[in-house]
Amino acid sequence: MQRLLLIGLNHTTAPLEVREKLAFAPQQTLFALAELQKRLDHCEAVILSTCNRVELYLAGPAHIDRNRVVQFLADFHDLPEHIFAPHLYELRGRVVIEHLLSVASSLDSMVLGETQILGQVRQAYETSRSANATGSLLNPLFQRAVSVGREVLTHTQLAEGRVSVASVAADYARRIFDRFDDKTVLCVGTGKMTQLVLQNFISLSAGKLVVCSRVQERADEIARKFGGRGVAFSEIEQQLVASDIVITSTGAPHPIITRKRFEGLLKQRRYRPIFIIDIAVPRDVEASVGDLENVYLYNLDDLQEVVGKTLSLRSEAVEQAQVIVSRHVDAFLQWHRQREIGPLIDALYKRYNEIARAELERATARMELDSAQRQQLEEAVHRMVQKMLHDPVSRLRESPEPHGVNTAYVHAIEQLFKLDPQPTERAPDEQT
Amino acid sequence: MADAPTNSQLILCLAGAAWFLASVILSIGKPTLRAVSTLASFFGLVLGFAALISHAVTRGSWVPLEDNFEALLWLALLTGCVSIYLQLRKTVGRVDWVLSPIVILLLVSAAVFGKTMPRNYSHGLWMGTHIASVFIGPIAFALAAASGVMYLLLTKRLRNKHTVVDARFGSLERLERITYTAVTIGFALLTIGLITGIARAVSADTRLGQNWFWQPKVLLATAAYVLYALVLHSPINPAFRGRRTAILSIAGFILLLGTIGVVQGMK
Repeated sequence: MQRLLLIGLNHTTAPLEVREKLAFAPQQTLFALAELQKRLDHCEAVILSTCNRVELYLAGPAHIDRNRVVQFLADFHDLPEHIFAPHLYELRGRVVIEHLLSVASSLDSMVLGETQILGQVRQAYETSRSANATGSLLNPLFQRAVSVGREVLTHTQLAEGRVSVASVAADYARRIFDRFDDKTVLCVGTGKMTQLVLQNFISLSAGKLVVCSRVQERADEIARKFGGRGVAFSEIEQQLVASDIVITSTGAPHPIITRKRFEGLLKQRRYRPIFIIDIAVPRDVEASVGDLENVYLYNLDDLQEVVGKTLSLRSEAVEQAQVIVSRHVDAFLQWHRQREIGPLIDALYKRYNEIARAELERATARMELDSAQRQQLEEAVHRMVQKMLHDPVSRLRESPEPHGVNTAYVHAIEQLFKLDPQPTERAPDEQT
Repeated sequence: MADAPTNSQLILCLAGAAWFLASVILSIGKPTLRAVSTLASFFGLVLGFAALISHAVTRGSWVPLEDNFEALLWLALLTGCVSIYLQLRKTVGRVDWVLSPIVILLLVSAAVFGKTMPRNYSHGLWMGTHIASVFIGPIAFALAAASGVMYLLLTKRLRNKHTVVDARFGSLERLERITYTAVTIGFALLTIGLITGIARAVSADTRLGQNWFWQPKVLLATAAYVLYALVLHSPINPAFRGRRTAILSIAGFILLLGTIGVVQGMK
């Protein structure tokens, strides 16, 4: 009978300064797994270490002592226990399965529905598997976790949309333009928010970046940082004609791009589509500019509204995701229970059937029965065996124990019916 | 007397239309049903081609476009092929929302006109070229209209600041490029179709009569031709680009469908 334990901390239980101290760098993981297995009698182990969580999934034949795991963490990271121990959570049995499936489905993430965690769970499992640290319980459990995560992210709206203003803007850009290597991005103003949006636009690999600011030095500095070119504010009209994407956040008290001003540029632009992201407050671009043909104008409120709607859409999908997770938890437990008690039930039926057959042989040895009569007797004896074992086997299958088989029943059946114990599946302390 | 399609060919043709209808219904449902939707279109195509083969066997001729049932069926099925190809490419996966209904309309038209007004098309270089170009050109125009519709839908979603803009719509730039390329190909074929049609009208004793120029089919085709010429004009006059190009492509295709309807309905 396998025991499951999870010890870890995450963004809800520990601050960043604790999480970063306890994190396992990728190059440390293999060594950590080996050390952990050495200390915990070669139990199965998976270490999941991300920005927001450090979790140790452990499975072993016997009860795994929490203190030994905490001690391992303290020794490995050379940290006093009191720094991290109060932030740790400890889960056992069914709750571990529920937790892992929720983590893989991004239900436990800081940003609900983020998809990165599924890859991190898969990576953590692959690392452990390559180190031969997983076995008969963690292998199927993590494989199921990955498939559940995939199912949740594809069959629900949990991962729909974007949840940051900058990524929403980049997403809209992809819906307007097909390629970016021939496009020009113009940044008007050099605020922090502009830089955040620019960072997202780097992934689009735009052909040219032009930074325009009232302070030329500042424009040059930001342009250098992102591989662009700084221009003087007086050149803004020429740049608006040449640009395809405009990001503005100047802090000017009045709009710097008015409808009248932009209308005059449309023809020079040859009516090329333009995507304007106005993240300034007060706004830099008059709202009516967005009504012009082939102009797609988004201000901060528009983008934040999209983020808000996405988050609420994701929240609505939580219930649906939880149903999927719950279904898989039950299915996994059912499968696991069958696998654990299957050999025992087989042995039980085999033993009773052997006894019944032997008694039948003895009783019918002196009778003169034709084959039909003999078959009827055999069937009657077989039915008796089935009926006698039906209740105990059903109780065994309907185990109330949260993470598998009811060990008391297993012991009792083995003892009472003199069956061979299942040495590979059971803990040493559980053996008769 | 032309060879009207048999009842089994009509059933195959209409069953194909039903599968395309199923694919449309499935495609506007859950995203997970997209693969099933594509499969349904594929079944529709298979049934359509079965009708086509059966018709060729009945007539004892494998030369394509010899009668109106077959010509409309070819037009429908090739449009269906384009639709499936684009769905599988995923670059503009939603374009089948428009192309599949066009395929259904053409399949039903093939069944109705093929049965009620069967008509053989005469052979010869001029007529053969005319028929081929006027029945293949609309495939390109159907694609242009479909990407035009997608362009308008996407513009509307972007202007309304829609929360989730499906990546399978593609981008405005891509849709505009598809529209322009499709119109360019279709326009070349339509030009050939009009020239060969006019040449035949003025040189032979056709059923159009002396005042052939004022016939509805000629007027409709000419109007469509002018609209498509405006679309092709957009690089020179960029005021036509974007939404206007999309609207003109849709209007042009509606006129072409009208032309096909008038031609098929003519006694």
